[in-house]
Amino acid sequence: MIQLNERKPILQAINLRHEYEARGQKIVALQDVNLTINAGDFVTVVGPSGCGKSTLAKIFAGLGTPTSGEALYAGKPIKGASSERGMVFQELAVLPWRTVVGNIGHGLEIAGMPKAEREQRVAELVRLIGLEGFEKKYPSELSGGMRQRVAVARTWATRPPVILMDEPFAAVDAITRLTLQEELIRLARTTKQTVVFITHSVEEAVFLGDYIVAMSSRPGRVLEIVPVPDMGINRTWEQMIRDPRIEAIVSRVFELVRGRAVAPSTERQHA
Amino acid sequence: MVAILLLALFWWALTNVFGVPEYIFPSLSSVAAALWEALLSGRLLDDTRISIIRLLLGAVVGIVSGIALGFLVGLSRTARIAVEPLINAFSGIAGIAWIPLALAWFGTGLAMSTFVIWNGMFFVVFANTILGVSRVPPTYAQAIFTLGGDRREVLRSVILPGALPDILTGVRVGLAFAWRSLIAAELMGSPMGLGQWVNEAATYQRTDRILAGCLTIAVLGVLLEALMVSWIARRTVVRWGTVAVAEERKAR
Ligand SMILES: Nc1ncnc2c1ncn2[C@@H]1O[C@H](COP(=O)(O)OP(=O)(O)OP(=O)(O)O)[C@@H](O)[C@H]1O
Ligand SMILES: [Mg+2]
Repeated sequence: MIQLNERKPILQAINLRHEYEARGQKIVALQDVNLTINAGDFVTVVGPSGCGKSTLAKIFAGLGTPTSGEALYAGKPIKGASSERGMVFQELAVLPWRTVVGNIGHGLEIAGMPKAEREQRVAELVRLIGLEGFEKKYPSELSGGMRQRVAVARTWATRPPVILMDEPFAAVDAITRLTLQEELIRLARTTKQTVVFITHSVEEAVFLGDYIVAMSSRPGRVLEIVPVPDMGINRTWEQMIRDPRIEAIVSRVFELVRGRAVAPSTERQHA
Repeated sequence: MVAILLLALFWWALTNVFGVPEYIFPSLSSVAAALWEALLSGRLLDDTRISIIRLLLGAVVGIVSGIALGFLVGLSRTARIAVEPLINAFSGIAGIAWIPLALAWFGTGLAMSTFVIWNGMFFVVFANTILGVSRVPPTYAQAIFTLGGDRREVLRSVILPGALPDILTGVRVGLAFAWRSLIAAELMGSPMGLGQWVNEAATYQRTDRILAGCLTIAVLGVLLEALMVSWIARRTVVRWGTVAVAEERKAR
């Protein structure tokens, strides 16, 4: 369990609203989003496609300014991106002109870490994501799933206090995904980093999260925050699928994101 | 390679089989003889050296200014609004039309050829650099910002390599323009140089020498392109896989 003294808010959304203007049309991507994420939390955000998950992640990363409302990091308004909030992008964002190790070590390079130390840290991460032997390859020589693993390692390398992950395993095959998920849980728990993990897979959200933020379809709102019983650092899928409590949570979240839940709160149902 | 052989065969057939007279289209052997003669006299080497110096000077100025301004305009909206209409207006009249004016301004020296080559080359490098900068996916830059990078880091490690495929295209096309501008400038008045060599040959109606000059220009053009563009491309964009290479596509 996370110690009590660590449970202070690290990310907050207050009455967040975000609109996009595209060819004269206004699209409300986020509306009335209120959310508090504590330091050390592993949060999963789940919702149907187009509900504003990526928009929310980019606002927390400092890559977008909300139309109204506030986004806070450690109590202060977020202004611009910073190395304190790393992000793994839904679109592939590793640099094609850097090798696997060049990409993974990029953040450390920017931070000015000495070469020897950097190489050691990078080698560790390469092993962790199972890309030994591919160190000197360029992204164009890797599979989509391998590239995405490089993107995860690149963000992880600098150990930012907050990591925003936008559907990082979408392009990874189901088997590798299981391993990466288990690895991710272990890593996040040992380093006590705060992780905001976005997915549209309900099972993935339940497996990974301390709690799940279920969002409605457009305009995106937070429907409910569903807590998950603590399964420990070494949780496995096998253990999870046999647990009836987990089963109940999965079906509850499914109801929520499909818009069929009987509203437990005052939230208005959105057809 | 095959294309070159076919061209040589066609040439040989033109003069030896169809009997096109020498003064209209000289045979392969007489052009070779003219080349050999010019090479021995040292004239061709002198002219080539002068042309290459002129071309390199003009090309370097054209490439550097094209890339620098392309970045400025590609990255800043204000710069774009300020310069773009002006540059569009000038690119329409770029090139050979400026030679008479350039002669009046700069005389026949190195400044004149540099200006004319710059004029022929700048706009295509400039326009392609802007295109390249605008085509770099914005998420690449965003990712570097979340890694703690500043604007300079993004410029260095994202925009520059990201725009390189288009920049190289611009340089490749620009070099062809540069050659044309240079030869035209030399034809119209620069002393020495390959264009002048062709010009003199024309006065004496030595078609074999004209073709020998053209052949030299063509070979130099290919060599320079290989050195300045293909060599760089193989070590960068081709290796990264950010441009598709014809050979590779065939292999798949
Ligand atoms: N740059 C943009 N310009 C205009 N509209 C946008 C832009 N980005 C997103 N949108 C719109 O905002 C809404 C939310 O987009 P967002 O990418 O945040 O959704 P998402 O929940 O991440 O979806 P997915 O699960 O498919 O990734 C969508 O309806 C989309 O059409
Ligand atoms: Mg998304």
